[in-house]
Amino acid sequence: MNKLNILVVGVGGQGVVTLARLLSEACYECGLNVLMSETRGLSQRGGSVKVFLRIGRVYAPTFNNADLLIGLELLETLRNISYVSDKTVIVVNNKLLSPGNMAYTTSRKKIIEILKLRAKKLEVINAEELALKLGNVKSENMVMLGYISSHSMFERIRHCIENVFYKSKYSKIRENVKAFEQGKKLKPILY
Amino acid sequence: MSKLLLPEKSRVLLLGNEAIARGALEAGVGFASAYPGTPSSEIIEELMKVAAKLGIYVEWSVNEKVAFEAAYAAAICGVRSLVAMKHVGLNVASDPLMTSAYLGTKAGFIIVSADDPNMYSSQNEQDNRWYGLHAYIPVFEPSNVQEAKDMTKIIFDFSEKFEHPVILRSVTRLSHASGVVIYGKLRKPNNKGVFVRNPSRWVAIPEYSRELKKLLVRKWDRIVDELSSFNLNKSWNERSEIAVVASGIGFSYAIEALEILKAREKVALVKLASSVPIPRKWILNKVSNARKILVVEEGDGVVEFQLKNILQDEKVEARVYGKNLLPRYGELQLSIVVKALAKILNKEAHIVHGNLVPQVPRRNPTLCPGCPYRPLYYALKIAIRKSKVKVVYSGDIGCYTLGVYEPFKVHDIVLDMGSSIGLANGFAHVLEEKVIAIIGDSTFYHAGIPALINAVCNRAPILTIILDNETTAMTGFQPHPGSDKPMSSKHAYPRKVPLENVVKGIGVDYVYIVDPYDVGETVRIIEEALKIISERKEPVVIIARRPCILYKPIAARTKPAVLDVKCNRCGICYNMFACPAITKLPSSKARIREDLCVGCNVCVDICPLNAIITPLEGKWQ
Repeated sequence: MNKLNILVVGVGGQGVVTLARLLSEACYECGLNVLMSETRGLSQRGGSVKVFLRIGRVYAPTFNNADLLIGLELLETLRNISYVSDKTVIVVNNKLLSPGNMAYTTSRKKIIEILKLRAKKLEVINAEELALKLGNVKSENMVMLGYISSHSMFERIRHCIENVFYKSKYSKIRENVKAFEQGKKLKPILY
Repeated sequence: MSKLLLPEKSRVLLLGNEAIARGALEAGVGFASAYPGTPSSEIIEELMKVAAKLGIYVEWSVNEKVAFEAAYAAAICGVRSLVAMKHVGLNVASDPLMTSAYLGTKAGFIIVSADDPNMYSSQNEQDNRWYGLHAYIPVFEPSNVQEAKDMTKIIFDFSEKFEHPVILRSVTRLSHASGVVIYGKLRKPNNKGVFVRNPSRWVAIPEYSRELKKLLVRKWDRIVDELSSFNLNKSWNERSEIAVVASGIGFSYAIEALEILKAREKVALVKLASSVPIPRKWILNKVSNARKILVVEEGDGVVEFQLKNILQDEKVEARVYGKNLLPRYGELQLSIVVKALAKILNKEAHIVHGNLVPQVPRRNPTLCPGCPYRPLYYALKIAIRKSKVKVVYSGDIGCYTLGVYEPFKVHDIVLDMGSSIGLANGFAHVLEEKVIAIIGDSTFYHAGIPALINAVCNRAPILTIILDNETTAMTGFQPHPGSDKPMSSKHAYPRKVPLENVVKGIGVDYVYIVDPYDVGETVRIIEEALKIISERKEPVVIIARRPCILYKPIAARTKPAVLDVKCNRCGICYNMFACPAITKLPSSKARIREDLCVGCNVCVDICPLNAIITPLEGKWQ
């Protein structure tokens, strides 16, 4: 594969951009060409966040079909299903945040069913649950990063993800280190 | 050390805006200014961090017009200068922009316009390349992060050679894209200049301006010629019968679309460094064999318009495609460019169609937990209800514009920076309703002051609420004249211009200052203010003062909790106050989400049953 399109999505405040930035820095450190595109400003106030991350021989800042969709939240993952085809792997945090105080009737189960139907492979990660157990839900993005670093897709850059994480300011917080380390060993619920 | 100061040949992962900043440093920039605005803000933010070390001058100005004029003045004194702003900011600075082309410059002068196609954080998506045609100022467009750095550096030379301002146009997908950049050499900055008196050049009175205009159009012709030998223009396979002409980020989509269609060898690819003016001789030469030309550019058909004009002049018979195949609004997309290209190549486009998106409720951005604007809006709604008056809310631009959404719905119109008070000057004289202008602190300093002066001298009965959170929050906490952070690189301490001094100095007789965390007092003051505008028909100003919760988080975070037995499911806290940290349980009772709560404790006050309580010293009171 000469290029890889990764879409990272979630809710503002979940650390979507942080996760994407650490991944892109790892790619860069491993000598890969990387192009990341984000949006700032208003979109950070608890709204939907979407970051495009491209690796390899790429030019355009965005794409239409993701090879990998990393979701920090189920509803946001569902929202971006137009980027999913039968070639897409979805790695998603098993977390559902209803927007505002609106009642949203689609259940976790239903969303997972739709995602499973459309993707090549769906891996649901109990990142929120683990982060809560470790004491701070905010480290759920680091659970995801740990999990991704151990994923077969990233075998070549695993050591760079490790280096970048431990060089970053995020590794100065104990819950994050635990989250990252235990995330590596987390078993996905496969669909 | 800032990554902007790493040595030559360093390979660094940079944001597009950081690359522009590095390019300016490689050009020896000595003066830089801006008013913050997404997606432009990081340029000055990054330069500010290295200013003291390099001995250059960097400032956050009060608005784009002043930022422009300050940087321009430095440039005409021989100091290389840069001014940065978002696209709509250039409207504010358009007055000096227009005439700066007549006067020209001495040292290189770059105007960075960061456009926001698809309006991720803007009120419109105007294409500022038109300003280039309008003002006779060349517009350069980088296509990727490396080029953003390289081009910034090179056009400083270009500007200096012609003693003429130049615009660097970026877009969101460049300013906020990160890519790998290889550094060139830093140039020693020059930060002191000389002003040489020459009224016939620098004083734009009609007599001199008539002469300057003649010189300007001649200079423009020379610029058009020079751009034909500009070495950032690039082309491949010029002899082909099908050509793609692309500028800026459009080029990055075009080249990848050609690769996807495996058509690189069959198509002439023409990359323009300047989208205004397009290099006439050069482009004619590159498309001379073409029968079909597709122009790929983000925004309006600015290149397309000029190209059609030139081909018509030169009687070249080629069919030009552009905005008839590509979107006239929003951003370019790879699939759309592939489709357009496939059409002119008479090829099948194998586009993998993504899935249809099921009905997913929108997730609107919202005021943060602990944001002082939430209790202010809450108090405002209560005061309006208690006063039994009908109102029109004239809104403005900032985080607080989010008040437009449920449950507050306190912005009936938002037009441009400072327009809350400007529009209120009209509403107040023609409407029966009470007029309330809602404006942020930074926005007030930026463009609200003249409008308030107007309201005072014309006795417009407007209630103006200035939301003072001590910072320019939405763009990333840049300082403003009322902040406790200095605005420039030169001084360690701020010289504050407090809002109340400005408002009283203007002549507003009724000025209140209130802490919006005190909901009861805020309600009382708003009621009183409404009474004054009804009875005395004079403008009133309320300054609602409390720092942004992200800018100055609450130190001691004593978080409240809901007493389940007392909660009667009234929903005031989660429906009407609508703090994201309060959720509705399946039982319709409320619960505080500890992960989101920042401990502002305003909800303790608004609960009518005192069911939300704060633990003190580890014990329930």
